[in-house]
Amino acid sequence: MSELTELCDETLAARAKNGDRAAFDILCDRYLPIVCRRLRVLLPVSAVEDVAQEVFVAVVRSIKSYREDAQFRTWVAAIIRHKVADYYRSEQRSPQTVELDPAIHSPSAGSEAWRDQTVALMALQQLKAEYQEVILLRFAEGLPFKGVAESLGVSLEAAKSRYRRAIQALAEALGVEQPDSVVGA
Amino acid sequence: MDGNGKTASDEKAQRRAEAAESQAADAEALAAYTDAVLEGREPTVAVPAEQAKTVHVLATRAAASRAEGVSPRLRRLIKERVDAAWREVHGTTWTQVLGRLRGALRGYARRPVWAVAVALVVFALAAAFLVEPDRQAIPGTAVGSGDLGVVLIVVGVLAVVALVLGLASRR
Repeated sequence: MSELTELCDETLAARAKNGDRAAFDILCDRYLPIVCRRLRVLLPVSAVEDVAQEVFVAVVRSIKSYREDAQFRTWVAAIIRHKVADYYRSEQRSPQTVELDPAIHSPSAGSEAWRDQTVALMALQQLKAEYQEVILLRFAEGLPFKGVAESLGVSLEAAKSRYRRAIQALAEALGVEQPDSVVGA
Repeated sequence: MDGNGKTASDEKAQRRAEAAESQAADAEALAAYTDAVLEGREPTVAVPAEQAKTVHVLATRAAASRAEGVSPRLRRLIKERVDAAWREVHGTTWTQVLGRLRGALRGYARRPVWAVAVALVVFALAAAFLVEPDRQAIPGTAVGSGDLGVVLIVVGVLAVVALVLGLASRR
């Protein structure tokens, strides 16, 4: 088992694909915190546990279709995205049907409510998958930008540039006013 | 061409380069701002207000999400669901053994000549072992038994060979 823990995700996934349960258990241990953190950013708290279970069941059921040349993290991220979309679909919500409450549409109307709007909008795929991914890598997984770039397979500059576009897109999707003012130094 | 010898396309290219440079600087500033917020430091760079607000909201949510951890109850629930799903996908130990046996035998199924050869060897061994009518009876074998017993056991051996070949050729 200790020998297995030293293997990279992709090797463990390849073993799990061939029926190695011990390898799969190590992957589960590694990814459970990551999956939960991502889901907590994307979903209401009450939905996280159920969707987390669905994600892992989907991973088991699809492991035979995993291709060894793909990054396991990216592969799991796609499964998470689908399960989150399923959740919102089952709740009969969609980017077209969700109506923002005018009372909480503005960030100034209460940060808690506004955060919920962020959650809903992100999860409802208002953001492109690549934008959602860069935000989740930085905020949910806590990777530094260098790690984000490595995970995305792009240069550091490209990762930062994509991050800027993602934040701008999210701000626009949320309907945040765009005053001329700047914040900071 | 203007007084400095620049063409319109030169100017366009220069504007594009400046815009790209400016966007890269903005991206760098936003990344630095985000790092400061996530590390609890006072940001030393300026970013547009709507971006700053969005970063703060995400940072607050992410901090809460990281602080919660994974409960033992959720771990147990996931393990139970994974166990059930794993059995569905990979089967139980018994079905795994059968699967491996089937895989090993599938090679023979693809090469009928070898399958026939193996069947003949099995049959020959069985016949040599079984047909010794003159000897005294040995319990648990056909040795010394009557003709009907020998026939039944030969038929049984052939049925087993057919079953194995059938299993091997199943997709």
